[in-house]
Amino acid sequence: MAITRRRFLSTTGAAAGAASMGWLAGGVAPAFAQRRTLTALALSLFVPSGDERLTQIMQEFGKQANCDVRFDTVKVTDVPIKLAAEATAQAGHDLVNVWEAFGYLHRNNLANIEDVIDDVGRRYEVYPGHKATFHIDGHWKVAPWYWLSFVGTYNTKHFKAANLQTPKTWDDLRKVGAELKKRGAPVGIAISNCTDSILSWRTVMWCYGAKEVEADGKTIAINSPKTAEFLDYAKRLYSDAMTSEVLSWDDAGNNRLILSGKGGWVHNPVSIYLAAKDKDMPITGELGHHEGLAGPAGRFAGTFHHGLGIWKFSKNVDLAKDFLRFLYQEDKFNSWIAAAKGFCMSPFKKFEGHEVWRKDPNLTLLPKEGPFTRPQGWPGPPTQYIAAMDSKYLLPNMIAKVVGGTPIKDAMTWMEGEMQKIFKETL
Amino acid sequence: MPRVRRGGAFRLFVVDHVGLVPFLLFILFPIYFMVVTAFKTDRELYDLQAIPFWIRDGVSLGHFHHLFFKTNFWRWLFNSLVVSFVTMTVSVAISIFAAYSLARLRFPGARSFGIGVFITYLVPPTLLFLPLTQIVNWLGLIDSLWALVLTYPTFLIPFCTWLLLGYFKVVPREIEECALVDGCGRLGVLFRIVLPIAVPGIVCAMLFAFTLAWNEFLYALTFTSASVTKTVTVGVAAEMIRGDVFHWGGIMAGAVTGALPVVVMYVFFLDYYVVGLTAGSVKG
Repeated sequence: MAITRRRFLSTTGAAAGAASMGWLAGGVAPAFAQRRTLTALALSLFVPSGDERLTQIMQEFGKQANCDVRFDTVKVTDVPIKLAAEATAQAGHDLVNVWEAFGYLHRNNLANIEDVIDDVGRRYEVYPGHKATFHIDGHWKVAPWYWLSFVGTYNTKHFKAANLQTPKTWDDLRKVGAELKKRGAPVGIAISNCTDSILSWRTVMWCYGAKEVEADGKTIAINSPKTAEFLDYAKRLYSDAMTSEVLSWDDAGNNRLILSGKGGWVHNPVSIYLAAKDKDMPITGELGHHEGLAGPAGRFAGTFHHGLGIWKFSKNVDLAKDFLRFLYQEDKFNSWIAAAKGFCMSPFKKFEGHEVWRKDPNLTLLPKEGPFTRPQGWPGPPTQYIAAMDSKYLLPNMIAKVVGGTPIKDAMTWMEGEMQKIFKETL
Repeated sequence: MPRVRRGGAFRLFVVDHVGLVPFLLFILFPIYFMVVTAFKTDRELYDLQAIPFWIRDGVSLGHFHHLFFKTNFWRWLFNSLVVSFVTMTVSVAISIFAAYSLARLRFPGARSFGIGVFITYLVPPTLLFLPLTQIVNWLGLIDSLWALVLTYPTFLIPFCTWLLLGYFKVVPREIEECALVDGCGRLGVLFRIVLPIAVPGIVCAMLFAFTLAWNEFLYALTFTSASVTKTVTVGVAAEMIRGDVFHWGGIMAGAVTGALPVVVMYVFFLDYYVVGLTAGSVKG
């Protein structure tokens, strides 16, 4: 029998339809027949072995607690979407990866977990940054998990060629960067709508004594002489040491600049170095790190404090708390830090001497950034207002206005106005 | 008709095709770059001395190997196929009835209903995904492919209806009237007269519906979480974009492989896709 296209289409179409419906119909068993399943959602960690180890720890817990477990990951920028959807539907995972202002933003949907964290804190000593971020309205709302150490990442080859020393202050960076730019190896900090841009510029802003809000977290403080001084520095750093490509960067822009061999210096966690090492790139041996930079007001460092929260509407709140207790056993947490290869910094003083940061000379300085880190929104807490401001990228947009020619006073007034709107509209 | 000399015809041929070259380059360059990137080693990808548009250090299947054997890629691909096929079929079937009734039947509110369908298509999914999450959860479909089968038609049906409406409107009304005079009912007219004539339009709607469902990201991200229920778009992004590190080779390998089913569909139906809508329907 000849196979015509019409016959082929009708036969394959029917078969595909039947197969699809059968596949879809073969769903899950009715709820009453199911075992409990503990689920967790997190961003896809830069180091896959960290995610793999957490999956193993969950599986070990599942055997002990006689439950099924599932650890889901999505890319970093998709986590806020999932959190919003799950909070709206009042359903989803049991444990969720929350960082910085997302704790405040979702505080009403997160269960109190001081019955877990108070004990962990007594044993391991929680760093103040995590407490300021996740101890909300008198309760632990999110369990401290890790933080990221943002350091200066530079290409040693370019520094040696120009006979330059690594900078100690932001002003040093401008001078060093000007020389590097002349030699075709510019400095780069994103001035664009990405999270790295917010974090890096907030770090610089604090070092120049400027702030967005007062310590109460409610009084707007962006329009000030200190902010003007910071913006003047940002403008000079951009014109002297950077190229216009930073205006279009995403979070991976600084990674690309350094890994291409063209960049002289960027501000980032050590993912650039670890990625180069992992992929055996020729540039690995040329990469170096140096400590955070200081400004006229001192040395401060922005970071992302990451944690695990338990949804209040989860059907497995107690089970999730038991899992956190399991995760925070010394050997388990130690093994997870090791699996994350030094990218994820411990939120507890107890683990700051972990060998993962001792055995690689390029990583030894990372734990030393801990005392300088501050939560987003500092000197206030990382409130829902900060979350709303960051979702509109107000800080990098103010800087973009200045480097684009807007007078500093007008740029500050613009951001102040935007902040007033946010504080009025955000619950 | 004046006779064209052989030399003139050749010149015309050359001019025509040379004129196409810039367009072809513009359209095919992203695909070419995607393929080249997928087959490069990581070392070469980040080497500034390398030629970006060519593979210098030899073809590498490393990215494909990682994607195929160290992730759930085949499952994601299968999920995408199932969801796209089912939602395409359901959506086009419903749209045929909707579009035909809007094009031919006169009932109160037909015009405003047609405009309403068009406006529905214009509402962006970013506004709809949160309320839809509540509905999907209420139906108990969270984290299953059924959630996508239910929600994808919300944007596929308005689009296909709008597309088919245009096709049905230009089908000569006289042909249908002849059939009605001969005793055929409305459904008979639709199935025996209109649909055979509108095959190119229906194929076109099917292709677009399949492609839209295949490319969809936001609903798939929101309504599914487990790796085994992810579609290609979400799975590749979750696995190949880790923190601020983009694994370009893996992303491009996923894009190349993920594009193949759509390419095959377009090639298979190309002649239907480009044929004139009413070609051969009315003969003297």
